[in-house]
Amino acid sequence: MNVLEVRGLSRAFGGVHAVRELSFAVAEGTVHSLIGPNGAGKTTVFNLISGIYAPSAGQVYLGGAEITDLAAHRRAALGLARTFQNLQVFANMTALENVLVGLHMRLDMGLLPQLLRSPALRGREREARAEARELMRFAGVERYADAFPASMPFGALKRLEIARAVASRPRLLLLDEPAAGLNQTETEDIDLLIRKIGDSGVTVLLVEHDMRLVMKISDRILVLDNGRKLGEGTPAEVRRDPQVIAAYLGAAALGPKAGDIHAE
Amino acid sequence: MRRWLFAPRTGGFLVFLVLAVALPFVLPNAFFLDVAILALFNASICVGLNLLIGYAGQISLGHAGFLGIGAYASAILTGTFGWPAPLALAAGAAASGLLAFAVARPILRLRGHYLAMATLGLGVIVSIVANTERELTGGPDGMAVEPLSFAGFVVEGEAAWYWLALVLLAATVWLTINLVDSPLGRGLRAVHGSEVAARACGVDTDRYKVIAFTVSAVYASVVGSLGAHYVGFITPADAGFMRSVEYVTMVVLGGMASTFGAVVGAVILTALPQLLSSFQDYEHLVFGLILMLTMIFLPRGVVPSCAALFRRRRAP
Repeated sequence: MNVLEVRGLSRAFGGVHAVRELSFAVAEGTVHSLIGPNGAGKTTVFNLISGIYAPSAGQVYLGGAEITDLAAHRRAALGLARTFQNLQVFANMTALENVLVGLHMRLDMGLLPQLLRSPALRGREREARAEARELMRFAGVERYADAFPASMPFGALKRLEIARAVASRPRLLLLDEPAAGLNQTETEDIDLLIRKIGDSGVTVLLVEHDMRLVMKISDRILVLDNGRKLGEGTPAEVRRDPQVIAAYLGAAALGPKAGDIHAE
Repeated sequence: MRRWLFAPRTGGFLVFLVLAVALPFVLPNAFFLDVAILALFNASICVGLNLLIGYAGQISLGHAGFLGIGAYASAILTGTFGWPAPLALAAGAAASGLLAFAVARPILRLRGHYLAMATLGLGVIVSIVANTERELTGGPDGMAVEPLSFAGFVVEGEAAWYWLALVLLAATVWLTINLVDSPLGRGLRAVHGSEVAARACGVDTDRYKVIAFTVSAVYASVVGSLGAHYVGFITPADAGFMRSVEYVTMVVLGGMASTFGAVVGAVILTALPQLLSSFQDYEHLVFGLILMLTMIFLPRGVVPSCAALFRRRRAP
């Protein structure tokens, strides 16, 4: 069964077609990667799926239900979670509170019990804090629980964002360049973390530039170029696809002729 | 134990109560008590306004407008129409809440300067109505307000008003501290931290901004009603732009996103002009100067900066 299905998705910014008639599906329980050169439209696709942008045309389905016109927070309620390429942690809250916002949908209740701090709320808050700590341990950032993001290293912030996203128990998790800006060891840790998330039954859609990471953990790869689908398949298939190689993986692999195309 | 003592909900609240209860016994005369009452009223407004400015990160330069709605509702409904004071207060609060709720969604879509201008306009409209509806409001001359009475009991004298204002502020502080630490409060802070991430986490950011705006407007309206009864006279200037700016200055000086900061800011900026009454003509100049100096030297405000200093001292 497909957790995510995208049909004929397009988005133009003025005259620039960031995404053009893109269709693809993500099967449940897989790690699906979205790759392509800078400006290929990967992050735009994420923003269209998560409801940050509205598409110019096309539909998005989550678990079979159309979500094209739903507000971002409603999509989150249906089991969609994401991280951001340029970190979007809440700098005005502790790391633990950041993760608690990820648990928000299961905690929200009426205004009155929150104003009065009712016993029911207190009980749920206690459980939520324990769960948030557990999630931080899962992501390997438990020692920063009471720290503010300003005092945390970059790699920990990346993992904090993942912990916050996983907190909502999503069906589909969108990870936007989780390894960007990380060194080799940190990237390997992120690799492990994504595998753990995948093993826990969450479907992952990944945008990433680190090809070693992508080839290692993806079940399927979708290649974007200029907002269009250039190719799709297993890592082995994508690696062999001459078009993909020319556009992205390294023109040198095809010899001087393809190199000219790439330079254009 | 230490944790308990230093948490705002327990230790901080206790310190605040002890200081506030002890205050009337050390103040030398009724003049100071009068200043203290006004400070408590302003503090209640600022604690509510801080939900919007400090926690949700949205500006409002029009909150004196809601104060004006509460004040005029109480003045007109009790004076002209003979309503009981609590009913007039509730009607004013309901009107403020409804107005805030109705305008919040379109207004809070705006950001930065645009939001500031829109809220400013809202406040200005209220003071213009108060200025021009002479038959109802007495126009620029203002109108007298009857004393606060309820079921035959009249609140009279500074001492009674002090305790009433303190109960109101204590309740406001208590509720606000609870709210800030609740899922809703975290949602509000998330809006401030990163609106796009908040939405991705399932926080209905529009709704939360509306809640913060409406709750703070109702606070301001209730205080406006009580303040009008206490002072016994209101003018359109009480709902004017300069008053709105004063409240924002109090919040910024005391410390954004700090409930006790809002209280401290209100106390300082209520007491200061009274104690420096020889500078009366320059009052707004001084306010502007304080706002500028705070932004430059204490951008986080008095209370958060002091708290950070204290933590650093304690740490090693």
